[in-house]
Amino acid sequence: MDNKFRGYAGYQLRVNLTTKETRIEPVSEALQRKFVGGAGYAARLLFDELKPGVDPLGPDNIMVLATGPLSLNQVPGGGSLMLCFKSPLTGIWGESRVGGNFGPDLKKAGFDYVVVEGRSEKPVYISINDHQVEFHDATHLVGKLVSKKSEVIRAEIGDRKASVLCIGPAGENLVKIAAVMSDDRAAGRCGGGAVWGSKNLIAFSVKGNRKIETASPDRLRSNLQQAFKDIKDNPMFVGMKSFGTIGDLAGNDDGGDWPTRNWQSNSWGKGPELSDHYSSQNFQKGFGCYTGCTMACARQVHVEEGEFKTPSHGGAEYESISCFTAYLLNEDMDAAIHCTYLCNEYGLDTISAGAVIAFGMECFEKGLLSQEQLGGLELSWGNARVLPVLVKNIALREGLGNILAEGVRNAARIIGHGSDQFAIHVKGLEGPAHDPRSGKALAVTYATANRGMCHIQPLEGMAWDRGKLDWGLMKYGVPDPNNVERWEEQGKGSVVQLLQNGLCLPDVVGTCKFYMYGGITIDHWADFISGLTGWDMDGVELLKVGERAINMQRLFNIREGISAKDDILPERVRSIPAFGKYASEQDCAVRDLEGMLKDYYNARGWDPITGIPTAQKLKELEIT
Amino acid sequence: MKVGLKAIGDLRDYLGRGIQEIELPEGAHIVDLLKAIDQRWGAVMPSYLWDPQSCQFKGPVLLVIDQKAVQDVDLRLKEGEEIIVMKAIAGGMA
Repeated sequence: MDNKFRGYAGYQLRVNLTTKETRIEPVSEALQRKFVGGAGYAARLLFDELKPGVDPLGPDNIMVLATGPLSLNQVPGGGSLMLCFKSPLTGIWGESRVGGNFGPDLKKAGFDYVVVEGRSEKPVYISINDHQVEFHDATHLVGKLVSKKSEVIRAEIGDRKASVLCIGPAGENLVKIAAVMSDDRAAGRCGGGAVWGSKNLIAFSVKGNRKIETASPDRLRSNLQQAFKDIKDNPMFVGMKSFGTIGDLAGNDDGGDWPTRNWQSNSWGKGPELSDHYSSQNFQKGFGCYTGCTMACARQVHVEEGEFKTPSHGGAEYESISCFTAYLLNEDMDAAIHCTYLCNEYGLDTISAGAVIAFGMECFEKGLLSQEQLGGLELSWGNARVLPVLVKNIALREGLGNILAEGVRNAARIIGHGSDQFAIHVKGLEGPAHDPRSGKALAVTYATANRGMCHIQPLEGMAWDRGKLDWGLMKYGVPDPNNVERWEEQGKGSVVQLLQNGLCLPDVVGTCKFYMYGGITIDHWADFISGLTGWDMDGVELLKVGERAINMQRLFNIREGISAKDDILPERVRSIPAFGKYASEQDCAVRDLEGMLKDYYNARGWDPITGIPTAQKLKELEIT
Repeated sequence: MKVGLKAIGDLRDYLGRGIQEIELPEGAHIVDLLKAIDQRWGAVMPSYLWDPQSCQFKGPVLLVIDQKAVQDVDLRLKEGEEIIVMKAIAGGMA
C-alpha cells in the first residue's frame, strides 16, 4: 500500500502496548491541509479518540508523537518533535516539545506520527527501522539513568546514531513532573514521562532511509537557501548563537523578568554574578541539538571540581538555571548546573522540579512540614546542598520527594495549612522563569495557554511588549511593539490572541520556535510547505491553522471541565513584588487581568462569560 | 559627522528614548562609536551591560544596522546612519 502524499511521509504508526499490535495507518491529505501537523493534528486526534475523564495514568490515555511537515534536517529549526497527551499533572491538554533528530528521523522511517495506546504488561522499548517495528523487553533498563539507557539501546539495536527517546527513573516512578528525554534534550512539561511509565513504555528508538516526495524540489531548495541567508545576520539569531538562552540572565533580573523566591519578587540582584560565574567557570561551547542546526543555541557546560562536580553535558538553559537559582535564592551556579544535569539523567522537568522545591522551601520556612515529612532535610532558602538530594528524592519518590513528585497543586492539597496560597500554578502547571510584572502580555498568555502556566507554548508574551519582538507578524495586524509600553494593559488581550495564533505555528509545522525569533516568519513556512506539498499556502491560511489548533485544544480542555473560571493568575504573581528593584513600582502589578481577558475572549470569538468557543467561531474554523 | 543611536526595550532606561544624535569624526568606525557611547553613558550603565575597560557591551547586546547584527568593530559608519542597540532575549522552551 502506498499513500502517495507529497510533503508528508503519509503514515501514522499506531502502537497498542496491551496487545503488542501495530498498525500502519495512512493519514488523510485533507486533514493534514486543515491541521498541518504537530500539536494541531494531535489535538484533533486526541479530541476524537480520547474519552473525557480518562485517567491520564491509565491504559486508555493516548500519546501522540507528532512531527510537522517541516520536521526535516534541511529546514531551519527542523529538529523538532511534539508529544501530546492528557497530562497526569494537570488533567487537561498536555504538550511538550523536544529538540534533536528524533522528529526528522521518524520522518525518514516513514511516519509523520506515532499514536501510543494501551499498557504493556512488562517494561518494553520499541525500535522503529523504516516501517519495521519491534518490541523489546526493557526489564533490564528499569532504574537506569537516561544516558545509560540510551547507550544500551543503541548497542542492542546495533546503531550508535539511532535517535532514542526514553524516560528516566522519574517516569518509571510515575512522578507527575517526569520528562521524556532525547539524550540531553527534554520534552519536559506536563508529565509525559509519567504517562510512559504508566504504560511500561521505557523508550523508542528510530532510524530510517526513506525520502519525502517533494512537489517542487528546486523551489524548496532555493527558498531554504535564501532563508538561511536571510537570518545569518539577524541580531536575534546572532544573539542566540553567541550566548544561548541563558545569555541575558542578568538583564532579566534587572528588567524584573526573573521570578524570585517562589514568585515573591520579580528581581533578585544576583543575576550578574551568577552569569559571570557561568561564563567563566561552566560554559564550554555552543552546539546545535539536531543535525543541520545553524543557530546552535544549546550550551555544553560542566562543573570541573568540587562538591557539585558535573561531567560535560548539554544544559544550562535559561529556564532550568533560573528555576534552580532565583526561585530558590540559590547563589551557587555550580549547584544549579549539577541539579539540572541530575534532572536530565533522572528524567525530570527542570522547571517544575525547581518550582516544587521552591514551594517546599516556603512550606519549610512557614513550619508547615512535619519532622516525618522532612526526614531530617533542611529546606532553608538558598541551601544549595539540599538541592541534589531533593531532585533525587523527587525522582525516586522518597521521603518528602514523594509529596513534591505530585506537583505543587497536589502537594499543597496533601500538606494543607493554607499552602495552596503559595502553590504557584495555573491549571496545575507550575510557572516558568518569566514574570508578567515585566510585560503584561505575559499575564494573558499565562492565564490562557492550553497546557497551563506556560510562557512558550504558545507564546512568550513579554518578548513582545518588553522585548520588542514582532516575529514578522505586524503585517498581519500585530501592533508595533516599539509603540507599546510594557506595563500598559489596555488592548493587550486582543494582541495576545493574534500572537498566539502565530507563535503556536512552530509547534504545528514542526520546527524550533527560536528560528522564529531569529527571523524566520510564517511566510517562510508557508513557502516551504507549498514547495513540499504543492499546496498554494500563505501566511493568512497558516494563521488560521494556528487559530484552529488553539481552539481544538481549548475544546479538549473544556470537555475536561476547564472554563473562564480557570483562566486566572495567582494573586502573588499579580502583586507588587515583596522586595527587590521593583518593590515600589506600582505599575508593574497586574491590575486588570479580567479586562485583558475580556478583550482576549472577544478577539477569540469566545463567549465572554464562559470562555468557550462559540458555535459561530467553530463553524468559521471548520471544527465540528 | 552625525549618526543616530536608538536603544530598544530595557536599554532605553540607560541610553534614553528615541534617536540619540552622536557626533563622530569623519570616516569613523564602530569602535569610535563605542568610545563615544562610553563617554556619554558609560557611567550610568550597570556593570553587567557595559565594560568600560574595553568599551564594549557585555552579554547579548548587539548593534544593528539595516536589520543586520554588526559583528565587526572596524565597520565604517556613514553620515546620518541609524544604529540600533538591542538585546537578545533570554527564554526557554520545554
